[in-house]
Formats: sequence, C-alpha cells, structure tokens
Amino acid sequence: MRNTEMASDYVYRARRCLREAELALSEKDYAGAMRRPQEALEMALKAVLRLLAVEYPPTPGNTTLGKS
Amino acid sequence: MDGKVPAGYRRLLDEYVSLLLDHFGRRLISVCLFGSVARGEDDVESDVDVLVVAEGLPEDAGLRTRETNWIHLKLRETEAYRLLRASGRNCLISDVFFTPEEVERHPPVLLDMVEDGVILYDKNGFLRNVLEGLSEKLRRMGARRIKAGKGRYWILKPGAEPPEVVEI
Repeated sequence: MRNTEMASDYVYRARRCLREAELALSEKDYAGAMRRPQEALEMALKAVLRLLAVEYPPTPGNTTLGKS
Repeated sequence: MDGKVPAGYRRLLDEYVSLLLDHFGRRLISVCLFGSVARGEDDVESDVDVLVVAEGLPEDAGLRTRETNWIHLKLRETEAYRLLRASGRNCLISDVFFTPEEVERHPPVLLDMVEDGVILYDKNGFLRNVLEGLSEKLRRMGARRIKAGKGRYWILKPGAEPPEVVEI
C-alpha cells in the first residue's frame, strides 16, 4: 500500500469524526461534542505522519501520540 | 514471526483456531497473533490481537465481525477461557479479518507482525511468504521500528517528505 492512500484513509476517518461531533453538538451531547473532535485531531495527526512515512499502530485514544 | 505463544494463552488460542476452522473450513488461510501478547509485554488489560485471513469474506467489515461473533461466545464456554479469566487476564480476542488478496496489498496492520507476530495457522505458508516479502521491502527502504512507551511505531523511509510516495 502507498502512504498517500493510507493517509487518505485517516483523513476520511477524521472527517467522519467531525461530522459526528457536529451531530453530537446539535443534540446537546456535549461529552460527545468534546470527544469526537479529539479523535478527529488524532486521525488528522496520524494522516500527517503517514505522509511523512511514519506509521503508528491504530491504537484508539492514543494519548501517547501527542507526547512522543 | 517465529515467536512462541505465551504459555498462559496457548490453550485459549488453540481453541480459537479450532473454532475458526469449524467456521471457515478450507476457506481459512492464516491466523497470526500480534501486539503486546505476542511480544510478551501484555498486562492484565491487554487485548489478544489476532489477524485472521480467510477467503470469501463479505466486503463490509461490520459483517465480517458479525459473522464470527458466535466464535467469541463459544470461546467463553471453554475451560481455557475460564482458567485465563481466573488468572486475572483479559481474554478479549480482538480479531481483524482480511482476505488473501487484501493481505497481499500489505495493509499497515502487517507492520505489527513482521518482527514479532506469532503464526498460529498458515495454509501453504501463505502469510509467512507475505511477511517475508514485506520484511525484505522494509529492509531495502531502511525502515526502522521505534519503541515508544508500551508501543512501537515505524519510520518506513527515513527522510521521506511529501510529495514523495512511499509504498510498503
């Protein structure tokens, strides 16, 4: 697989997370409206890493990612 | 990929492979343990990560999981599961399903198996061949695997910058 198509996959997932965040906000699910953008940010960051040919394991809620 | 199954998980994984064979029959191609349990770095909360390669899977990932959900329910009835639970370990098998064609395209999950995956079942050495091919490709690119906390990540091609396309 190419890193560009793998990065696209994470961008797709990040966009989905943002749409879910908007839905959560419209339904006054404030916890969801906070959590989903955080996941979107993680996905977007992983997409950038893939473009740099760095591959992180798909750990959900990977809190170490931003610290490394 | 020549590692051994940690002793505590051997019976559970034997039962699991046996149930996969019951379900898929000749369609089952490979089963590989990976992640923290395969590396012997598991703790009580670790999932047991397993790759399953089988022919004729549905396109939809959700359907793939639903089709084999009964295996997890059946596994809970086994003595191997009860013993492992009694020892305080998490017995949750977190399985991902791929067809042979998908595996040949080197999905990123294979990167977790190249160095320390433990092959539990492999028809005609299919997965071993794929992983050896990927390993050789990574070696040629100068790829490095870095330990970070409990996990690891790969620098597939040191110095690569967009718009360079890197293929594994």
